[in-house]
Amino acid sequence: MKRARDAALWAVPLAFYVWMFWYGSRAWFQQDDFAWLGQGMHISTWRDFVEALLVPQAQGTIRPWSERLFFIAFYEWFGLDHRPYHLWVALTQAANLLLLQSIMLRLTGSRLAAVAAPVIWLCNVGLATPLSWLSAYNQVLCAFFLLCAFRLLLAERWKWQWAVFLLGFGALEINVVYPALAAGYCLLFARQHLRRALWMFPASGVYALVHFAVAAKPTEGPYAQHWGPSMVPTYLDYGAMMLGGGLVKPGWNLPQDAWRWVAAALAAALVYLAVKAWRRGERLPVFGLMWFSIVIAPVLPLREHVMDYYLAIPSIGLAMLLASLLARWRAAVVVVIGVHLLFSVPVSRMTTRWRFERGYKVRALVEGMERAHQLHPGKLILLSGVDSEVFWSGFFDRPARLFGLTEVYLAPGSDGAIDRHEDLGNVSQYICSTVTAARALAVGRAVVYRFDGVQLHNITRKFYRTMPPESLKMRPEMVEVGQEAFARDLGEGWYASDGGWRWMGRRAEVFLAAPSKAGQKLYVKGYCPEPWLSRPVVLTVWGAGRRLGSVSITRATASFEYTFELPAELVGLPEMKVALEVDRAHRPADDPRELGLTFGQLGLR
Amino acid sequence: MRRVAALALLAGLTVGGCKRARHTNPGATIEEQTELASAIGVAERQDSSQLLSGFHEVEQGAWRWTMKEFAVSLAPPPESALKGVRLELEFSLPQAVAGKLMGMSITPAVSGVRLKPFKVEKAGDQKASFEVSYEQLRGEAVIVQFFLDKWIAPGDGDSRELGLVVSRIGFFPR
Repeated sequence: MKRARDAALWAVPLAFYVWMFWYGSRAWFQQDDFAWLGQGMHISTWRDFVEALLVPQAQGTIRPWSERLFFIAFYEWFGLDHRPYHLWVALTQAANLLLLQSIMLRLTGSRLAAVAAPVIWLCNVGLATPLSWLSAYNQVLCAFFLLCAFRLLLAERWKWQWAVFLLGFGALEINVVYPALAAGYCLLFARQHLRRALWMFPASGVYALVHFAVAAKPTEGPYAQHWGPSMVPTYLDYGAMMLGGGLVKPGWNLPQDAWRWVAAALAAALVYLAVKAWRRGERLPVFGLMWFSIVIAPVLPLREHVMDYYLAIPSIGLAMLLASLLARWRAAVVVVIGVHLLFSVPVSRMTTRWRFERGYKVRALVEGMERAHQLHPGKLILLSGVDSEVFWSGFFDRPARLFGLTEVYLAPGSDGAIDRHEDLGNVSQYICSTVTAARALAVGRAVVYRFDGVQLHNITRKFYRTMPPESLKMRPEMVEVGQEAFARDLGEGWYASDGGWRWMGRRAEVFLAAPSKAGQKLYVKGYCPEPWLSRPVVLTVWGAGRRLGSVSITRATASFEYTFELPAELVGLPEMKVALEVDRAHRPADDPRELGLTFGQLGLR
Repeated sequence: MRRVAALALLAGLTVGGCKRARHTNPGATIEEQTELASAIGVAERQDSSQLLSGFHEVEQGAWRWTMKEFAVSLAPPPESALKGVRLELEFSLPQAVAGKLMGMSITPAVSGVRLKPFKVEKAGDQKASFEVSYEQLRGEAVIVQFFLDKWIAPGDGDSRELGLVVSRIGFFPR
């Protein structure tokens, strides 16, 4: 009977987890997920694999376990089936819950505190995103390494603690704080082991040095670091968000910042209770505060990037604090916990539900693109009806390249609903120009779909009929030199298309739309076979009769992409003739043609 | 150690074996319904809705007599927008009526714009071609009318007004 009761107590947090994250654990891929899913596309050798695991990416992060191996292996095994990924996240989190329960049981001896801590942690807004968005798995896995190492510290399994601590660096940079957590614990509870904890600081120091050496150091934007007094308000913001949920659930008829007042009242109550406990010789509430402060510290310089999921691991400290107080001052703490959960649980549930619903739409869009690509292989796919949320979460990261579709764009005129976020990227490169769309549609090389949030509807004919007839007569901003749809924009000097590419002789001409604003540049993408480059080939470019510049193509730049400044006086011209000339052409033994360079794209940027 | 290695290998094989071929979701898109054809066989049942006026019943499952004026609706083909198309009329002038109708002019009108006439100068199966510019091809459906300057009036051995024996009309790329 006792064994059954104990088992039930261990199962309570797990059952609560399933209830809390019923939606989040079924959310489809979104945002950065697609970038991580595509990592395997560039792997063909063991060397590629090792590079994929260890080369710094995205702000210089190196997270081989949580972002590289996780996505590479699961995509290889399960493709775009999101369920195994979430199952793995859930298993990791289940281990976290059991570890936290075990730690609290060990530190307090109270079954109530041991069950309460993981439940309280699960309610925190900091976990809502990591448990519903696969790209934030790094938080869950890092929590596992920290909790596991800490549990091994409590068990005085020093070698295993070291091993887990070192492995934790592969999950997330936050792992660097573990020596401080261990030292804090030893200071408060086991001073005889403090020296062992201090020995781990050099390892974190070395990691920090390596990280700072390879990480990007932006001076502006969300990832710019601001060391100084501004870290204090950021610290207080995180504390308030952790306690009050970060927002008031819509429909509650409370002022927008009511959560801040709730957070302040809760913070005051907790500090009072922690001091009271300290005076009675209870150190665990203070250790909880310490845990929060230490783990949140590395992200405090990112004052422009205050994110709820950065609270995932620091909020373990709050759970420890509340659960440890619960063992003694039950009535008062129940009120504090009740108010905290009243504000944080609805926000967490709302976040996970939002992730789930957004994933549903993204899935509809991505599966629609995949189906459209299957039905219309080789055609340009144009989309209308994509709203801002779906664009930034399910289109911007180019999920279609996972199934080999690269030519998919927003239909001209359908980008009005997209909010601009210059820090994330330029929307214009995702929009097909009117001329390109009209040309492609005119020769049956494009299909147009309207997205209604559930399915893609083929509206090719209807869309085409609404296009202004003059769009067919306009010059394009970008010419796909090898494609027949653009043959009418090519002047003298070109040979027949080689499928996507086209050779020029010694001199060739292309007609483009003139720049519409100052600052636009001429972009050329081409190729010259390396054996012909025993000495450089000089390419000179003119625009509307003005010399734009020359470049030397060498073996190192056999596949080249260049941009040339365009004079401001070209703005507003009806069209622009671009002339290309090479200083020498090649006549291959098996080809009667005199060949200069071959081009793929040429246009304005 | 061997057991651990064997278990690891088994786990790897199991997971590796989990990889499933990905199938696209057929319900993820709704494709456009088939609309008008850009070329029709006048005797084809599925194309009969595109015959607007001036056609008699199907004969021998292959052709129809027309009246002195007849009309069809055709969809402009996608490629028409760039360079226009060629309108083709496949017809026959039976020997039996060649004496009366030889030398007739067929004048088509596309979207109300008359094209250069075609003169029938021989009997038997033949094809008349007309150049159509893209300006006349905007819209979902294009109405194509044909006007004949010679025909056989009703009562002269047949109660019907007879123009040509037509089998096929359509737009084709230039």
